[in-house]
Amino acid sequence: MPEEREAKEGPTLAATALMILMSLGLAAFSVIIIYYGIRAGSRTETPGMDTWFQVLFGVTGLMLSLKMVYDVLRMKIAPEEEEPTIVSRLQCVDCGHWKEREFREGEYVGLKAEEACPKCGGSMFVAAIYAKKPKKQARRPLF
Amino acid sequence: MLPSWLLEKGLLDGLTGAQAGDLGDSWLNWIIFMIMIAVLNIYGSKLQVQMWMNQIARALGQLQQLTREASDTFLQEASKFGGDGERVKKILQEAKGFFTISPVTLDPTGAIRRLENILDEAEDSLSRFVERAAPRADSVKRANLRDQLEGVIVLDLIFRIVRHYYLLGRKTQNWIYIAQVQMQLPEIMRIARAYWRSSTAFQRGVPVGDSIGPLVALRLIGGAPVEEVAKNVVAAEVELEDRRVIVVKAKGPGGEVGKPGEAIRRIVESRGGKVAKIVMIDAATKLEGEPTGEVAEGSGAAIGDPGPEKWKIEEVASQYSIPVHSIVIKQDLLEAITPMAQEIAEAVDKVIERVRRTIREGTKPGDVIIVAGIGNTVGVGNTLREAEVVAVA
Ligand SMILES: [Zn+2]
Repeated sequence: MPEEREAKEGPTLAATALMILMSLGLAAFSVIIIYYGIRAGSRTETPGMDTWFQVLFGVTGLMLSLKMVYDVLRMKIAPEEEEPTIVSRLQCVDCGHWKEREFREGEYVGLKAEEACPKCGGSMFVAAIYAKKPKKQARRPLF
Repeated sequence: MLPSWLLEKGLLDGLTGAQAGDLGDSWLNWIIFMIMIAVLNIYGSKLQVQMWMNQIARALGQLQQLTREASDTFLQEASKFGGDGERVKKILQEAKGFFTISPVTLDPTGAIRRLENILDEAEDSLSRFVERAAPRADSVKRANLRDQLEGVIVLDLIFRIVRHYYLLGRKTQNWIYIAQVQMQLPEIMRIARAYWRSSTAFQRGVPVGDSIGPLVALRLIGGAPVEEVAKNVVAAEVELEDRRVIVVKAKGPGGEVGKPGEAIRRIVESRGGKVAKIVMIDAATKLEGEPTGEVAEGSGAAIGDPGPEKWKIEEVASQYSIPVHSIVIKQDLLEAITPMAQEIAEAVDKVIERVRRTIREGTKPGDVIIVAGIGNTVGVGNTLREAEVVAVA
C-alpha cells in the first residue's frame, strides 16, 4: 500500500530528473541559438530577419525551460499542510484563571478537569477545545 | 560561455547547412518555424487535455486515498466497540452510496413534512448501520460514529463523481468534461480534505467550527439543570438580565444536531405563545476576505438544516408574532466541519455580550426569551454541573 500511495502523490524521481534534464537541454540549445543569432547579426550593419528570429526563439526557449524547472520544483516542494494541535482550555471555577494544554481523549467542553488550579487550587473545567495553528504558519496578511 | 569545441567543429552549422559559424541566412529556420506553429496549432489542445487528464488522474488517486483513510479510521473506531473487522467492512460497503430522494414539490402541500419524514429515515438508517458496526458503543459514541460514517459517504461520493467525469471524458474524448473537472479540482480537493479532517475530529470527539452555537449555549446554561425537550435537544432555564431565558442546544457531547425547531415549537406552545423573543446563534458561511470568527446579527431564523426545523421555528414564531433575531459567527465551509479554530472559540465572549444586549432590547424584565445554540454539539457537554457528576461517577 505505501508504494502505491507514493506513486500517486506526485511525479516519481525518474520523471522529475527527466523533466529537469529536458529543460536544461532546452536552455543550452536556446543559449546556442541566441549566440549564433547575435554573431551573425553583428557581422552586418543591419541585422537581418534571421537574427531576430534566432534571438526570439532563444529567449522563448530559455523562458520555457525556466518555467519547466519552476513547475517541477514547485510540485516537489509543495507546502505541506501542517497539522494543527488540539488544545483544551481549562478554566478555574473560583478565580477564572485559565491555561491551555493538549487535548486528552474523552474530554469535552463542560467536563471537570482532573488537575487543580495552579493559582488558587480550586477545581477547573474544560472551557473550550480548539485547534491551535502552528506558530510559524502565522504569516503577515496580504491585505 | 559556450563550449568552444561546438563552434569549432561547426556541428550546428552542418545541421542547418549554413556557412561555418553562421546559423542564419537559411531557409531551414523558416521551415522549422512553420512546422512548430503547425504542430502547436494541431496538437496544442490535445496536449493541454492530456495534461488536464494527468492532473485529474493524480487527484483521483488522492481522493481514493482520503476515502480509504477515512474508512480505515471508521473501521478502527468501530472495532473498539465490538465491531468485527470483516463485518464492519461489509457494513461500510453497504452504507457507501447511501442516498436520499427529495420529495415531490410539484404538489407543494405538506412537502416539508414529507421531507422531514425522509430525513428522519435517513438518520435512522445511518444509526442502524452504526449500531450493527459497533454494537457496544454508547449513544455519544454512536452519534460520533454516525457523523464519521457520513463523512466517509460524502468522500466516496466525491470520488465517484470525479471518476465519472474523468472516464466519460476519456471515453468520449470530449474535452468539455475534462475541462469542467480540471477547473473545479482545487475546490473539490479542498472540500475532500475538509471531510477527511472532520473524520478525525468526530473520531476524537473534538468540537468543530459548527459547534460554536452549542458552545455559546453551554456557557449561558452554566450549572443549571437541563432536561430533554425534544429528540436529542436539551433545554435549561436561567436568569439573564432580569429575564427568564430558556437556553436550547443539541444533546451533547456526541455529534448530534437534534431537532431544535421541534424543541422551540414545544416550548412556545407549552407557554401558550408567551415568549417575548427567540434568539438564535449559529455558524454562518463567511465571504472570502471576511475574518474567521467575525460576529454578525440579523433577523430571521439562522439554522442551516434542509428545511423542516427552520420551517417549524418560522411557523410558530409567526403564529404568535414572536420576533426572531439571529447572531452568527462567520467561518468558511471547511472550518465548519473541521476542529474549531481558536478564533471561533474566542468569539464566544463577544457573542454572549451581543446575546445579553439582544435580550434587553424590546423586552421587559420577567419576560420569557428563548436562546437557541444551533449546530453540531460534538465535544460540547450540556451543563457544567452534569459534567461534575459524570467525572465523579
Ligand atoms: Zn483558581
